[in-house]
Amino acid sequence: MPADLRIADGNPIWLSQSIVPSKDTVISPGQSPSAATPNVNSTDVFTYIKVENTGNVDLGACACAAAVPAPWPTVVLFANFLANPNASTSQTQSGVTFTVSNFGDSLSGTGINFSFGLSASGKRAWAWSPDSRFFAYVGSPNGNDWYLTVVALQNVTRSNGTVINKGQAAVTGNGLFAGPPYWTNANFGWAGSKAVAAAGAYAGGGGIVRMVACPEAPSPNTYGDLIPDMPGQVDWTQLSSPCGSVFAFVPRVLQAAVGSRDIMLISTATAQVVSFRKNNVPTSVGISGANPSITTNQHAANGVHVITGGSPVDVDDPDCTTVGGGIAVIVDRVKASTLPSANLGVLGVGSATLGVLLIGQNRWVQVPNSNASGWSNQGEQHWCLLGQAYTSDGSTIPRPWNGQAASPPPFPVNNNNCAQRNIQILP
Amino acid sequence: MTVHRFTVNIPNGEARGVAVRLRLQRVTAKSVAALGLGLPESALEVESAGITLDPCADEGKPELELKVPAYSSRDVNVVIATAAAGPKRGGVTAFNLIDERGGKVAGGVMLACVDRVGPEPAGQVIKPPRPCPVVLAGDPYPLAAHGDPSKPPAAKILTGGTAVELVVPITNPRSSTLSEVQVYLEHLGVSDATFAPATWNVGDFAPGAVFYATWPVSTAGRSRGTFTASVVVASARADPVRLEATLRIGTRSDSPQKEKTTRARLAARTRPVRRSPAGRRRLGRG
Repeated sequence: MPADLRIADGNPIWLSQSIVPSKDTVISPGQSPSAATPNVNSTDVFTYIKVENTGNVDLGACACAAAVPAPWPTVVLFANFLANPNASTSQTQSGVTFTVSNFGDSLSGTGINFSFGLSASGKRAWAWSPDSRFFAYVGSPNGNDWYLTVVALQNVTRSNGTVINKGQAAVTGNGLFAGPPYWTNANFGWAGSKAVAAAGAYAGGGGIVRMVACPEAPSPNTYGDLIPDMPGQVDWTQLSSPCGSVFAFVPRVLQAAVGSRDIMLISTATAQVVSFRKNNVPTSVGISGANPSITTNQHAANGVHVITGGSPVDVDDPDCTTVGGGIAVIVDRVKASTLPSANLGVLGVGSATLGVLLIGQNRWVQVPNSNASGWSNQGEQHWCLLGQAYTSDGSTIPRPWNGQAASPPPFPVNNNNCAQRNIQILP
Repeated sequence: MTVHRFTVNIPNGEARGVAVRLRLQRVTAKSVAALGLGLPESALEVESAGITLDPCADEGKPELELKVPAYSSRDVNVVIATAAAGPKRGGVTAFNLIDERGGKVAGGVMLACVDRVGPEPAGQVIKPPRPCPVVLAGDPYPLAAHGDPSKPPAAKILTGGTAVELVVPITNPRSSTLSEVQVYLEHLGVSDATFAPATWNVGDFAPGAVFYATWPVSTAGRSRGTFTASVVVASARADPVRLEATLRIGTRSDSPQKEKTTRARLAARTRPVRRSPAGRRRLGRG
């Protein structure tokens, strides 16, 4: 059984015991309330909905499965490089074939037909992402320039909810490096599976040019900067968090006289610089030694341990200290009717959320009546409460019904995650 | 004798007309008690019960058949006459009006006739055996996006019609570290504010430490006043607990000076955050 939520039906179906209007102050979501009969002036009646996880997926929990302690991995440099305009080769992975030829390079497979064009200088580097969802390719018309294209090998949802279709370019970037040799595959690498990093000598003078391309970020989805080159004094390591939510430029301070240098974090969801946090308060982490390291010990606040060269510090895990979404619970009501149709109008009651619900767990969710009309009964004492639960991401378990939409269809009471209960609203 | 009248809608959302057979079925006293509604325990004596299309009729039939055209509905009336209840005990009786279509039960509604003596009992405070010890470290307050949540603004009022981060500071009042601490926002009371749901994994929570949980909140601007948000905290080997956090939504004209004078009163209402039922009645609707 896939992800599933249940609000248990009653016997008969119109008397669910998992929907309870109550005046009780129920301290714990693990406890059940006793039922009460609201009147039209009640301001102390909540509707409690018992939601059960009857599927085989923990809902609202951190999706990062990386076992701890987890050292942050370094960027994996592109493994493939050619510098001959007449070279020809092909590679196949998971049913997708990359072909190099003097007529142009391309990617092909079921639902994928992407042309990278001709790399006139003959230089190209490429690599599949570790999770095989993306393919990254770098070509060069003139040898000193480079053009990066990352292609989605399956439909991928960006952090803002939009979808990159299979076979489409997810992110592109370009630049110039000084040389010769200008660049090779060693200038590019996958940081986890959510970012491609590029770094090389600045073509316009001294310095290092850096770029991070984030295929899951909405446009603009690249970050770039230019930093001073300090050979023998400061070197840089490129790391990513175990589940790839952030990319880190980590300085290695080779000479103590240089002083401390801060780690720079880039969110792969936004391609923007973000801060480390400690108890959710922004903080910086300075490195003063030559052998810094970052290790996730716990997928929670203060769960990341940084060896700085000075005093080690603990900061929040950027992968899982906060987990967006959870379970939404919505309550509506309709006048007494033998079927929970919407033909007499649907009054919203309120909504609430439930954070984490593990497989087999249940919780009572407290839903306030936030409708401006309160418990007005419109002259009819008999009403029916309609409760529904779904995941806030809208996709794992979609919202079954919108009673506040124009001309809503009948309430889908036969759905597992929908139930109804007759109540009386006294004058 | 008391006559109880109910109007019940019989809808048909299908593209074809439908024949509906309605029948009344008395709910046993045991089944009524099992609903846990706190109704009187005595059963009312039923003198008659029937279904009729006539809204003025004094009685009807136990069963009624009618046709409902496509995409329409009809109202029927249920008239139940009961004898007077005992003067000190009250009484209750209930019927299910069962809707059958094509020989199968398609739906129904329960109709309860209640003769209650005195007001319904007040709600109770239901406490868990092992409550999570985490408490609020102070009132919630708004924060501009990407700000430092440890620095509260001068005015802790959410301005109607704006989008901000809502900061809810929590702390561990115990002398030992709590583990597997989590916190999420359940709701923002009866306000019209909405929020992006998320769970914070605080993990190991040191004694006296403060964690600043935040959620993006938007206020539509229709609700003003004081509201009670529900924040749920959980920790290992303890029952999750609702913390009630007082939230103020105002306008730009609600000055920091005015806020200062009311802060002490609000703080008193926020701690120790487990509120009496009477306290909830004081909530405004804005």
